Amino acid sequence: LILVLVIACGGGDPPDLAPYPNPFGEDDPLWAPQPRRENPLEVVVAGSTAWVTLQGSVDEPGDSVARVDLTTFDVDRVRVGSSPTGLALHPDGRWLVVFNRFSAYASVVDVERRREVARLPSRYYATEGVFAPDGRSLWVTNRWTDTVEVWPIHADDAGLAMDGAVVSIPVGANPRDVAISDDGATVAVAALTGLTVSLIDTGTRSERLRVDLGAPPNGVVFVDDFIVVPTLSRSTHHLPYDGADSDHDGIPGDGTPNVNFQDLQNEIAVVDARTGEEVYRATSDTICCLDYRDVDPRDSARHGDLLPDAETWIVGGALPEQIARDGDGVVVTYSASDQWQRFDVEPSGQLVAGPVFDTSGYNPHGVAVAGDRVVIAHRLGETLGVYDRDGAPLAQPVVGDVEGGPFPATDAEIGELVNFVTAPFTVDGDQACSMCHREGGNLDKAFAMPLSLRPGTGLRMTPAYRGLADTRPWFFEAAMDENNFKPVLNEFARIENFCCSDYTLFPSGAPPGCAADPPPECAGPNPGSLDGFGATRGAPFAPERPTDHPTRDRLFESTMEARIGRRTSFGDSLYFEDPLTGAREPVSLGFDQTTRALGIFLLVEPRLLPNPNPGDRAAVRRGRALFERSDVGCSLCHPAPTFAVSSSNNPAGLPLRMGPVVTPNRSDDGINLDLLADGFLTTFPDGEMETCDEVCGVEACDADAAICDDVRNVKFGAPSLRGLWDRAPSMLHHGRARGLREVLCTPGHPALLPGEVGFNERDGVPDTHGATSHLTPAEIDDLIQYLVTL
Amino acid sequence: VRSSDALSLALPLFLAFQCEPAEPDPFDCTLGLTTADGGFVPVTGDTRLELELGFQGFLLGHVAIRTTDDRVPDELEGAVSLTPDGLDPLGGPFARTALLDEPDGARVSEPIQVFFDASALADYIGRTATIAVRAEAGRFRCLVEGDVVLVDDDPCIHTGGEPICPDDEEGTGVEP
Repeated sequence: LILVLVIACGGGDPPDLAPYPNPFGEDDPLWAPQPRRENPLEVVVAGSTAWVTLQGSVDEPGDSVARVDLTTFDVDRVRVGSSPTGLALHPDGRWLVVFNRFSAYASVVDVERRREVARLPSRYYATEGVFAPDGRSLWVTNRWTDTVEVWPIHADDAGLAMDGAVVSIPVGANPRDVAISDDGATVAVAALTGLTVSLIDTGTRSERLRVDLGAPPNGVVFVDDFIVVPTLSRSTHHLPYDGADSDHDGIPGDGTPNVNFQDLQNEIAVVDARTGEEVYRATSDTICCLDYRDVDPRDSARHGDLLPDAETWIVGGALPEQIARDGDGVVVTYSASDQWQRFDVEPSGQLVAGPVFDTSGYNPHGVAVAGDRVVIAHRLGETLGVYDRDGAPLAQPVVGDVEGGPFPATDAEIGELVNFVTAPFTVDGDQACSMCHREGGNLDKAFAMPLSLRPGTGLRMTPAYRGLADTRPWFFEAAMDENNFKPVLNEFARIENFCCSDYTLFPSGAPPGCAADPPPECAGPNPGSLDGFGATRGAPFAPERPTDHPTRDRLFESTMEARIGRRTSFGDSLYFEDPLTGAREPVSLGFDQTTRALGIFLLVEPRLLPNPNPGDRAAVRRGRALFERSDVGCSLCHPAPTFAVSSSNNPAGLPLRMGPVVTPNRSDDGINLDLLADGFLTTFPDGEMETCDEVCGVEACDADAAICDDVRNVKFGAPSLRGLWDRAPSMLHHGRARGLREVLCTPGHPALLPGEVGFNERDGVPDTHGATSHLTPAEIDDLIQYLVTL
Repeated sequence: VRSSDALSLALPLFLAFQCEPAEPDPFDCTLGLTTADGGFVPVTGDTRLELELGFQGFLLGHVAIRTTDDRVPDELEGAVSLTPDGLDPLGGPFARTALLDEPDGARVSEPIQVFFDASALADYIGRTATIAVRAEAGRFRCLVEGDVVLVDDDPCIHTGGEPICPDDEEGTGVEP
């Protein structure tokens, strides 16, 4: 009996990882019950059935895979581990391996008997996998260890079993997708956060090449000698700026400097797997075409000739997410625009685009091709879409959970939709929040931010959106929260694009009644802008106005109506409240209220990936003691339990913002590139920056307002340390530190490895970011061991 | 009556009396506007509320409250609404708004922002609007309202790093 109970309870397996506690509860006025969702993610086809992982959310993980009969579209389920994510079908077609990211095992499912028949022990965060053609090894990515592992596999009639020791091969940060060449000689591993694809020699089991894409590889597939990678733009189609080298390639000036987020594009790279050479890169309509502020490629006076060849503008959707081979071509899902597209891959590696099709469900993710059908998991829609080759939806069985109503059923879910399917709400039609916040995390690259005093040069790392309810106010500047973080979404649909709010056209405001009865000026090309490179009045390349909507609110409301069938909020969290009576009413889903919905989505769950690093080790205990020691000083500004100073966690009563603790990002002539635009501070007064008058005096500043820009500073919040184990290697607000050791160490610290730089100093003064210069290398190691358990 | 029965009767009664949310203590506050130099101007009905075209083209106005009640903690949260005559109300919640000491012993809040629809700037100008504020701090609460006139007296726009004024024609792309 005991044996039966042990087996039934999964005895012997380490416990599943548990989510972080959720501090956002019923006592918060924005709280509302949320429906359970299962978020179908990846899909494979075995014979006449499709198998779909039901990953669930970070905080309510799923525990099943769905099986869909592609003839009858009947759905049933098989119970597996916690948060099933990736799938790998054994070459004999009978055994399906399910990678459960929060369980320390992968499930082996017998696709004939429809049940879990074995468990392969694994480390937590086994994510995706692919079998070698002979079925004797399984290549598995691991997000925790940043490796690809080789699992030796034995198959027999009972299922699959491990057949030897696992080999781990380091790859880029947060590897996700993995593919193997037809001959089994090369494995390609796509590091979502690390922005690289590793090419592994399966014979020597070593990394042969690491291809730097400059953007997240969202998927990977082999087509003959090529790997085809859905990705995003490098954002380097501009003149080099004096800003920092944010991607550590030795060339200064990265990010998106010319028009802030506007040059984020959707791309598909084709790489020769033998040489690592990128032979072709298709892109979406670039910064030239749809947003009038951008540069026409014919406009050499404003460096339009730096743009990619217009013949490569063939990517038809937003956020190329997953990819499946289809004969001599590929099929790609566009998760941020609810679309998919097929491409032929020419012998030269060039892509030839097919038509773009809309999906019948929200947020398409995993894709598989089965004969004349394409099946796509609709991650937010909770369904599996089955399409014919002409894009016609044949069926859409529910595989997830819609008991709480079809998605979106709450105001938070409206925000979730906007976060992941942003593109329809953008002027370019091709940008999304989730481009940079991949799976809620960040990217190993800093970006130029709209808030910068010197556009294009002020860099910030993308913050992971995790643990936000108890770490308000948000961003490095600690200047915004769910009510006013409009500048981010604003960049995707700036008001100058809309005639009635175009202050370059109507500096004193558009004529009354403009929205209902647009004046004649609204019919013509937009004459000018003050932003970025900015087209000027009368410029020969000024394109037509990019939208017919006279106001931004109209764009948002009509897009909402088209997408979700409503123009107003549900009113469960997002409402207008009469301050005096407390009466509440749903609100129109214009720009402001949609931003609030997005904020509510960010609050309702912590989304902190459960930490797999064990805390009960001596090194961790020593590291914690160091962290809390007053002569080291970490815990003062990073107090538990959030490890951030926030409005809800500030035991020492510190200011929410303080001067920089490391040397600011500076230009060659010493200008502080971290400085904020004065307009930002006026509109978001929680932000803080030393004024010129304060630092250099009124008289000097009257003569030259920029005279102090080398010595005055921005004030920053103390960001949370939770989840450090999963973050991009580039750290600090500007991303210049490579890893925790560089963050912690003072310059020249003996703990630094050859080539590493200590960033714990400010303008030559050491120990400004905690006192560590007196710690031994072993103590620095202990501190790091502790930090990665938070 | 057994002791357990007594407990089962007493507990709900106890909870009923003890766990009702307490009514907040009212405190007196005055609705006003903050001036450029940080001063406070009470709202009197014909007070002019300047609409500022700010960073990235956001159109906004600022209101504030003033109190002499020293029982009230230093940080406010709450909600603000602004209803222009004949138009839909604007506003929403606010948080982390400090009460700052004034020389006369009173305290004035940091500016509380109200964002407007930038496409309707001309529709707002000259229109009367009713502002209502619920300000809360700990167990204290103040409800206040008043009327203002919406204006756009500042000829400059503040969408970027430096104000852009009508005489800044060169290089801005904006006609005076």
